[in-house]
Order: sequence, then structure tokens, then C-alpha cells
Amino acid sequence: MPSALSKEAISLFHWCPASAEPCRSMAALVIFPSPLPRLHAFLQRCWGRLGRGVFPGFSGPQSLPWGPALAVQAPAFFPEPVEEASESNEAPSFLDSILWMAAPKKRRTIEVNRCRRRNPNKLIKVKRNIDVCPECGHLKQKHVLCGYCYAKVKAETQQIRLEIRKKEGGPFNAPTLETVVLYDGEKPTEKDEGKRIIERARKRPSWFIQS
Amino acid sequence: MAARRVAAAGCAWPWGLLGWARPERFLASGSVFPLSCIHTSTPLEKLGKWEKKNRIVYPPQLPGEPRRPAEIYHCRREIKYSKDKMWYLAKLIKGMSIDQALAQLEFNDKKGAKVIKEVLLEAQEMAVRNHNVEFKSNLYIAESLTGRGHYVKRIRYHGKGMFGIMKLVRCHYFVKLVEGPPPPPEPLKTGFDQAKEYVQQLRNRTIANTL
Repeated sequence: MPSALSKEAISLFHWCPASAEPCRSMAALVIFPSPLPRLHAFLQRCWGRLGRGVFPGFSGPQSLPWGPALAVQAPAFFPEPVEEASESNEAPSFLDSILWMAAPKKRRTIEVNRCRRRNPNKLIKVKRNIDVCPECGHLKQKHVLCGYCYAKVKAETQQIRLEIRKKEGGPFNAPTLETVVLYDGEKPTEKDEGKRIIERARKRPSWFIQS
Repeated sequence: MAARRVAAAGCAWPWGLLGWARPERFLASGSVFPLSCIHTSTPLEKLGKWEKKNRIVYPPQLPGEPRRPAEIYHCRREIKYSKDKMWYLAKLIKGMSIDQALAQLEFNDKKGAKVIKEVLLEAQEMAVRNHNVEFKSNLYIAESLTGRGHYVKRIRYHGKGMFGIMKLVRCHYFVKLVEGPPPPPEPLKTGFDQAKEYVQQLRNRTIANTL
């Protein structure tokens, strides 16, 4: 309606030959009836292009549902309102998600970077809980077993387990008895009566006390 | 010799490595040449500045001079670690005695801690063997630095056929040990001291070209 009106109005506007000054009174002219079906079809195509996203920035839904007013008995709205609505709903969400992404505004200078990287909370703290192991003389943390002593016990245990494996000869053969480990030159005592005996071919280590 | 060199330039590179020694020289004469005249390896690894610092020789000290403490420079090149991450460990042990530094590094979980510990032990050994240091505990870490090594670019494969280019980083580690007890740590500058310095700077200003 606006474009139709403006077109006709403009053509009449420029066409008033009677007076030199622009005849404003002509603007309030009679509204032409919707003239030719060709013009109507052209207007229809214009509206269609508008709605389909030629101008994606448009918030479409407000302008679309009504078409140009027609004197002819014809439907005033277009046969494809549903698709346009869905398209117009899709496009803003895609654009919105791009526009609202967080991004750094400025490059962080090396001074700022250094302040952050060398802040005392990022430097490694000096440990005050290191002692000397009284057994072996290596360093150990106060609340942790000495690494060297643990390793030596682990090695000896592995050898004992090897002997046990040789004796048992397979899985699921563990007897329901206690085990006693005897080293070179040791005899089983009365206490070791009902126990399984494992022999180790070496001198008894000083830390493995014979019970 | 020059002619031989020119001929060698056209040949494969091993001849260039052997220098002026050629097998035909030995075979030509009947007697056995002393092997000290052969250069079997040329200095392919160019000595860095830090390695050369161990070679400086001071003139003998005069009788009244205080004893110059021994300085030992050691480094390791192309460690597969980041220089920024290594810097935190270097900053930790700066100014500590060598025993304290070794203790701290032993209980640190970083990958660079193991490397730096090896470097310190090597340097300690060098100090006792070559640099006339009497007690291996009487050393402290005067300087400890990291440097950037050679970087290599590789492809990192992402999903959907995307790829990124990643850098494989390497670093160098430099350490300078000095004989003697570690110096006491400097007291931190308070705000009051800084203000006093500022006021003193203002008071030291003069007007030029006047009385």
C-alpha cells in the first residue's frame, strides 16, 4: 500500500503543470484502485523477496503478515507465511550466538604476562618437611616412607614371592597355613610346627628380624 | 695438501671429516705412524658460550688478595621440556646451597626436576675432580638459568579433517656453582625504604648552570 500510493502520488506530483511551485494539495489525492494485475504481481514478488531474507537484519514478523490493501476480492496475505517465519526465527539465533562470543579486547603485554607468571602464588614453594632417614641416610619426607628402604624391602619381598611360586607350582595352590621365611643356616623352631617354610639362599637381612 | 683438499671436496663428506689424514699415507710408508697425528673427530658440536666459561684462567693471585672462590659452569642442551616450566625450578634453587637444592628437587614432581638434579650432580662431580673444590657440600648455586632450544613444528590431528600445527619445545639449562657458603638472602624492600629513596632522589636534584 505505501509503495503503491507513493508511486502514484509521486507521478501525479511531478506532473502538475499548472503552477511552478510543487502542488502539495495533489498529495491528498484519491487513492487509485489497485490498478493492473501486473503491478499487483510485481508488488507481491517484492514483498516475497523482502520476507525471504534479502534484508536479513529485518525483524520480519511485524511487517509481513499483512499484504497491500486491494480493492479486488483477493486474499490479503501471501501463501507462504510459515516458511518465512521459520527462516526468520533461525537467522537471528545464528547471528546472535556469533555476536555474543567472549574474545580478548587487547593483546596482553609482556609486563602483564610476567606479573601473572611470576606472582608468588605461582612459584614453587620450598618444602620444609624433608629429613634424613635414620636407617639408610637417604632423604625422606616426614610423612612418607623412605624411598630407598621401601625399594629394598620390595626387592626382597619379590624374591620371597618367587620362591613361594616355585613351591606352589601353579595358581590356586596356596595352603591354608602360615608362612615362615628362613635364611642360610637357620633351622625351624618349635614355634614353626604347623607352618609352611620358605627357604631363601642368602644371609638374613638386618632389617628382617627373626621372630 | 691443497690439491688433496680440492679433490676431497668433490668426493663424499667423510673425507672432509678425516682432515688431512688419508689411509694411503700409512700404507705408503712401511713404519707405523704415531696415531696422535690423526684428527678422528672434528668439533662438530660448536661449544656454546657457557661451556667456554670454564676455560678462563685467571692470573695467579697476589699474596695479600682474598682467595677467589672457585666457579663451575655447567649446562645441558636440548632438554625435551618447556623453558617457561623449567624456569620455575631454576627460580626455586637460585641462591640455595647444593645440598638443599638437591633435597628440594628430589621431592618435586616435575619432569624438569629430575633433569636438573642430574645436572647438579654432574657439576658437583666436575667441581671436585677438575676445579680443585675441597668439599663437595661447600658449593652454592650462584646462577641458574633456562634458555630456549630448537623448536620443531608438527601436525596435530583434530576431528573432521581439521589439523593444527603444534610446536615440540626444547630448552637448555645453565647453572653456575660457586664454592663457599650461600650468601644470606637480601631483606625485602619495604614501602618505607622505597619512599625514603624517592625522597632522596628528589633532594638530589639541582638546577643546571647556576651557583
